[in-house]
Amino acid sequence: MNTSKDQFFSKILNLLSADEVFINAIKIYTEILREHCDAELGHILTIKQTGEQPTLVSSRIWCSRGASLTLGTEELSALTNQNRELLPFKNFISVTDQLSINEPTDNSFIALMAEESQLTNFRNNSGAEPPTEYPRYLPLKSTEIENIFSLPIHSEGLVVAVIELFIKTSHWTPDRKGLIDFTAKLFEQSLNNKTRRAEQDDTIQALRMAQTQLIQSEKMASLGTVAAGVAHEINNPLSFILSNTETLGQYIKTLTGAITSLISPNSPPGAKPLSREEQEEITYVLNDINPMIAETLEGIMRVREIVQGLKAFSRADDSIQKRVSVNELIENSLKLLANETKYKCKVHTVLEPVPEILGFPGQLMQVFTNLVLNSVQAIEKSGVITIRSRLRTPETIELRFEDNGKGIAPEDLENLFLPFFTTKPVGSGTGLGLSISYGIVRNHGGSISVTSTLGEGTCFCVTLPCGPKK
Amino acid sequence: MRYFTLWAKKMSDHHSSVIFVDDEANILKTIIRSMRSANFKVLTTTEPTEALKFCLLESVQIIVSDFRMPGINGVELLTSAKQLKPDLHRIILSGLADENLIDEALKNEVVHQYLVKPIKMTELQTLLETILSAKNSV
Repeated sequence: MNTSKDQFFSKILNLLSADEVFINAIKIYTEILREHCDAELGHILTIKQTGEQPTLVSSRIWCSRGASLTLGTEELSALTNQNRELLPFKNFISVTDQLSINEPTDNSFIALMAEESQLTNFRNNSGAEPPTEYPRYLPLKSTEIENIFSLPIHSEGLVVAVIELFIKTSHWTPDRKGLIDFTAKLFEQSLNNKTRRAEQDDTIQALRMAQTQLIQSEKMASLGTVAAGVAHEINNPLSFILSNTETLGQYIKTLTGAITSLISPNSPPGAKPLSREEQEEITYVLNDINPMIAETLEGIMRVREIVQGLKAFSRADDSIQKRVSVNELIENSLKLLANETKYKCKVHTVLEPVPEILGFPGQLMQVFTNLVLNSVQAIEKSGVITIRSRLRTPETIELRFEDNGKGIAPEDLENLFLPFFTTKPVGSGTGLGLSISYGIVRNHGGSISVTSTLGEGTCFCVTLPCGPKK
Repeated sequence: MRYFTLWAKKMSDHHSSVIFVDDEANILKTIIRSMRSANFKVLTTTEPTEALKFCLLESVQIIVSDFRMPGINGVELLTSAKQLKPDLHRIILSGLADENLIDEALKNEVVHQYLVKPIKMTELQTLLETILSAKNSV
């Protein structure tokens, strides 16, 4: 038995046990059938594929004359044990078996005749011998039920469920059979639709996951691009923090020495004044100690900001939308890219106050980092990048990323947002940056567009809605 | 009895100078601070072009340059410095450098040494003093 078949059966089982709407529809079909056939009871069995053998499993769907009733698993297991009086049928026998109805050749119903505690007269066009054992509910003689009609339901060529009708009379009329066929078709159709929809849902889910992974890996790729620069940005302050701390140790030694010699009981006050050189040294230390600590702190703050920027950028828990300031995110992105920008371009920011928006900060930073990185890469030796933000309408923020770099050829412009399109040398761009940025901005309800002139520069324009949440 | 370390020396005693170039002023300040006890004079600048002028001073025997600086990289700077003053000892001190360029420069003797940041200032000082004493004993 292959896995996909197993999966198929378990999907049907799930449908029949979990989906309320579907269960109700099936209940109605069963009830219509039961009523039309003047049956005492209608019940649906599903088929569970356990290894090689299909097994009939009682579902929770039962209809009886009068009211329809739904039995929970507890009642069902109670039935299989002692309290069989719960149901109109007392001679309840539980037998696991392989079905002969798992492959009916004529697509028609199969009637199982019941006589006392024995199953006889198995009607099947294939003429196969009936199996010796069935999971059957043997009706009480007092209810005068003579026949159980089992109606196999097909989906994708497999019997996936069986409707059972417990009927007092064995008289079949053609119109009954017509209705049964018709209802079976309906049942099958809704089952098929349902599984197809479930499959579609699975596919959509899988696509969503793939997209998330793609965004994440592109993010990691661009993180890789900036990683060396970020390391340098951290290394620089680190090197003077390290050295200043070493010097601080020296200063403390100097000061401790001076203080110790001044307050030592062996040296009465005023007895041994500090030499001129020693005084000069102490003056130097006292003058330098505060600026040195200030510089060290500045360095530590720089490292902290970069690390925070990295954290915001690589955030994996970006699953909830937050109120974010796009200006702040742009500043953060620029901090991360400081090492890429400062050696060859001047970055001007003209960030007007704009309202906060509801969005995914890590993703938006990914977009901004991407656009700035593109600008930096477009500039060959030295240039200017200008980033502007403004409120274009009361509901729209407009961001512009302009550079005076080499520009984009007109024939490349139309492909710019296509996945895997890149003009960068192999290995230096994933070709996904802009297509993913496009996706992220669209996901935020915004738009992204580009204008460029070869040799003059490029401008990316991003709009983001900032109006009240609809 | 004094528990006192006196480690500043009079600048006028020095006959050798080292010029440090870095676009990060805080690093230069740190160098000035920690090299006060050195037996050479410390000159610093954030401007690569100014560094070249300093090189022309007779006392300057070593140049220590950062790699990444606005407009010019350390190897480019040291190439010019070599042309101006071939006997100058040339060192790159950087946290991030284009390793290929550095390798090439080391091969061509544009750069004599490549040091990686962060470095302990006491170690750097010892190294510079060793180089200077070797140079001056020739």
